[in-house]
Amino acid sequence: MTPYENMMYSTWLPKVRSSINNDWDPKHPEAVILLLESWSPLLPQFIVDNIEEQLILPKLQRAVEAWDPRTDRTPIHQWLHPWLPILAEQLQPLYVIIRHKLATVLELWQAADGSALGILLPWKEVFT
Amino acid sequence: MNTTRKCKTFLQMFYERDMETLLLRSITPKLAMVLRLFEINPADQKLEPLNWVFPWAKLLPTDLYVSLWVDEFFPKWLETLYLWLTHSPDLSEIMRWYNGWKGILEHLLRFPEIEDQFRRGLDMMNQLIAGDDS
Repeated sequence: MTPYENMMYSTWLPKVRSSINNDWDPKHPEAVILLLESWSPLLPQFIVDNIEEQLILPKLQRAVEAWDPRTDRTPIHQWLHPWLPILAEQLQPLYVIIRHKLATVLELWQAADGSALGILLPWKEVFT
Repeated sequence: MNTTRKCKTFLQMFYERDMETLLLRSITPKLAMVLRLFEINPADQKLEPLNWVFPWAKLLPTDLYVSLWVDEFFPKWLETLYLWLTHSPDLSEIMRWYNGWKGILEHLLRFPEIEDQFRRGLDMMNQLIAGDDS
């Protein structure tokens, strides 16, 4: 570790870690995305990896696990899709949970209920 | 940049297959049921249930969406037409009904499989007219 990396790791990262862990609401991704984007020219890759793998993804995972498609008013794509360009395939384990939850909810779905399309459609548009 | 694009393509393929599985398991059986239970009644046509199915054209893979209609709707539609043609038909009324359905299902007309179903209806009408003439 260079002295610079050491400084970032021992001084900068703990503050960011504490903010993400304690203050960040995953349903509002903008703040953390902005932080990462504005600091990215100054961040060693291992710190970026550390933030993504140790802080953001576990928190997103807990939020997805707590997500209830029947009652949550904020559609999940609104707070997860902003991460697509940044986390890319790292989000795949979350998709498994999301699809499982959607499949469970859709078992009771009646065709007359148009809301299912509204939930599923944004997931198509991201990739087309 | 290149890596990102490659990842996304991989993700896209992976994802789309899973989406299709989800749709096949959770959505299409219920839409098929709507079309299967749909009543075609030229005297008093209710269209509401079709409005539950139409919006899914945006999400379902095209071949899946089209085959829903070919498998679940058109056999019944052709049967209704056949019964009508063989029981005191008023051809101008039938033509109006036929064109009415073409209007209702306009978003499907560009698919050859659907065009084929309407052509079968038209053939049926022509056969009846030819039969009357002879």
